[in-house]
Amino acid sequence: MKLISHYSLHHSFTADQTELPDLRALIAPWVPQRIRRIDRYIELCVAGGLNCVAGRPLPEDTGVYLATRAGAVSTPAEVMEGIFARQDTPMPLHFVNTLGNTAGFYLTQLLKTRGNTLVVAQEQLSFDAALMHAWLDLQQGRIHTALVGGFDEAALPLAQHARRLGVDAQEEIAEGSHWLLLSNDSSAVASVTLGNPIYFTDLTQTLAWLREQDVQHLRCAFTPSADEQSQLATVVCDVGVCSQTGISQGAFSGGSLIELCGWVEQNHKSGIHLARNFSQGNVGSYCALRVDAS
Amino acid sequence: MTAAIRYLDARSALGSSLDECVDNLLAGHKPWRWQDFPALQEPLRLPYFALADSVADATRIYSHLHEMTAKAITAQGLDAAQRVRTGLFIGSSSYDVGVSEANYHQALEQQALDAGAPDPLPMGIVGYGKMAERLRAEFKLSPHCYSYSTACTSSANALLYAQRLIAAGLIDQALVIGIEFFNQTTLLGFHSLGLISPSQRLAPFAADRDGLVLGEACALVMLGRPDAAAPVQLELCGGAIATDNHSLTAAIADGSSLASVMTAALAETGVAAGDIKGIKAHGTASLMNDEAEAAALKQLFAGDLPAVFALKQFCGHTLGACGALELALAAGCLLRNRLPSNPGYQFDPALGVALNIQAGAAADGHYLFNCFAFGGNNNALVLRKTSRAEALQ
Repeated sequence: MKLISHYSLHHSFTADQTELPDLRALIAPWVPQRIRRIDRYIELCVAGGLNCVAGRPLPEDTGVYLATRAGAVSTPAEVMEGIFARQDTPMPLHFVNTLGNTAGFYLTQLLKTRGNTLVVAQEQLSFDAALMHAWLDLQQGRIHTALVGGFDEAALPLAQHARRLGVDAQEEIAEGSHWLLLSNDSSAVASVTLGNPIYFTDLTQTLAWLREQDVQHLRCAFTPSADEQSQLATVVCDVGVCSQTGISQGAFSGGSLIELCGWVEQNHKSGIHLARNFSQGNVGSYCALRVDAS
Repeated sequence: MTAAIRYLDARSALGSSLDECVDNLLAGHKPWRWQDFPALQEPLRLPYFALADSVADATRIYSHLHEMTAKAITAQGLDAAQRVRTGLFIGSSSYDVGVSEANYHQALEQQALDAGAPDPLPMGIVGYGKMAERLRAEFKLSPHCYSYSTACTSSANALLYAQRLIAAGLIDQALVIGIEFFNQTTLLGFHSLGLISPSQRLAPFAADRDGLVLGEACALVMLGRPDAAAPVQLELCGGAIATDNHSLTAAIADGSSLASVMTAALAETGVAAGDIKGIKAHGTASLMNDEAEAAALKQLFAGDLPAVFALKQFCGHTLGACGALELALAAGCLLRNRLPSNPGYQFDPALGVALNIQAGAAADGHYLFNCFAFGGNNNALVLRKTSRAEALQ
């Protein structure tokens, strides 16, 4: 998969903050008129997707693969408060904005795409899951261009949102929107190529695959445990960790992958992206992919 | 490469097993009941196709999901090596939002009694993928474990990608689950949109249709390698997804976008329109959906429309679960060599698409399955039925 473009937006907040950054300035260069009726979850999708595409003409059949860990939160919470605390029925448009694919509707409308659109989640591997679906369709020739985005919102009030996420009140709360525009068109020019996402059931399998890669740089989309760190260091000499905070809180592993793509582009060397799902105390699974300089 | 349907299960208002659901479907039962909302400022009652157990227990979503998964794994005798090659694909439009609602409601009541109680937290449970991850970990399934949220196409999309991952050799089997359980957000949201049938009738493509009735369901479809010994073989051949961003809540009335997804599904599977033996319509009985779907069917099949049937009038519109549920119900009928029908339906000359009203035999061949969603996400799947006598030729 050739990397045509990428875009990352990542914010972190403390639980006592009462305002979130305005995203409209990020949307305005591509859509001068204000988009009515959209909430923050949709704004994150639209801002990320439009800035990644950055005005490039897209084929109508471009596949759009959206990842979210939590889905829309602020609007469903507002609807729930209305029903149970105020005994009101939801406003029609509020209800529609609770649905998982409403964000994709606005984005595909603005991009004028009509092909395969999907919203998929897989906890901390959500971004990797969307990338997996895009790779499958690109590899099998169903599409030639794919837009992959992972986004999750931080819903106000942030102290409540911290409770939802199960994070400490002292810990920073993240929101983000991370995007890749990919192509398998032989004429496309790209300085970085991505391999296929590969899933592993445990670290042993992951290490076996890493040994075969002959790659010296690994970027983790998670904070490795001491055991993971030491085992990974036996097969890769340079183990880095994504610099962004709260990666595990949403579909944000794409932020780590994009950091790696920047490193590969700059250093003209290969690297490995590694993401991990380790939620609810379950044994984790891993997802890895190679990133090479073209 | 196609994926064989190895196992089916369903729980809906029609029954607590696939056989019971199919028996009641073929008998023409439409077991809806009233769902009351007495606490609203303006108390309300709406028709609803509920499961037999109480909607008051929101956490039953977890037990239904767990029981069905365990039953499928046991029925198929999957050992540890097979389970780790079994993907899990779940589709829902609301997941466990009903549990969040129940927790929030309970916390509000506690706070009313005790001002020192913890602050009620609306939408306290987040994460579309949590339930799938819990099942994957418990049953030690493949890490290919995905949760889809594309409103009413959620489990249809889950079916399509399960077939694609099997075809790509990434997994050997797939457990595909469509799940939708009662929650007030959804039912009241559809009421606010004015889409619930005031006559409590869900009458797809009928001249007097006036809206839909929602329902709840949990349905499981297991895909895998063909079973050569099965007397009737059903396979999911593939399909397509396409996007219609004309309107958030309605397809283009001329049917062009719905025709395009059906055309793409036929192209993907290499099946000609003339080879389709039957069509499972999305058929929500909303004025605009049926208008657009009828226009699309006429464009694609011209004057040679095969038998069309719609299933929501028997089980309600189960939203994100409808792809898996309606495939399970239709497949259950096809396995009995029966074609579903819509007896008593009144033809609408304005639509010009007649539903199948005669119970009859289901021919071998290809069947088209439509599922369309809010947000313009449309899915069409192609299924193939082969009787053993034909398979041996």
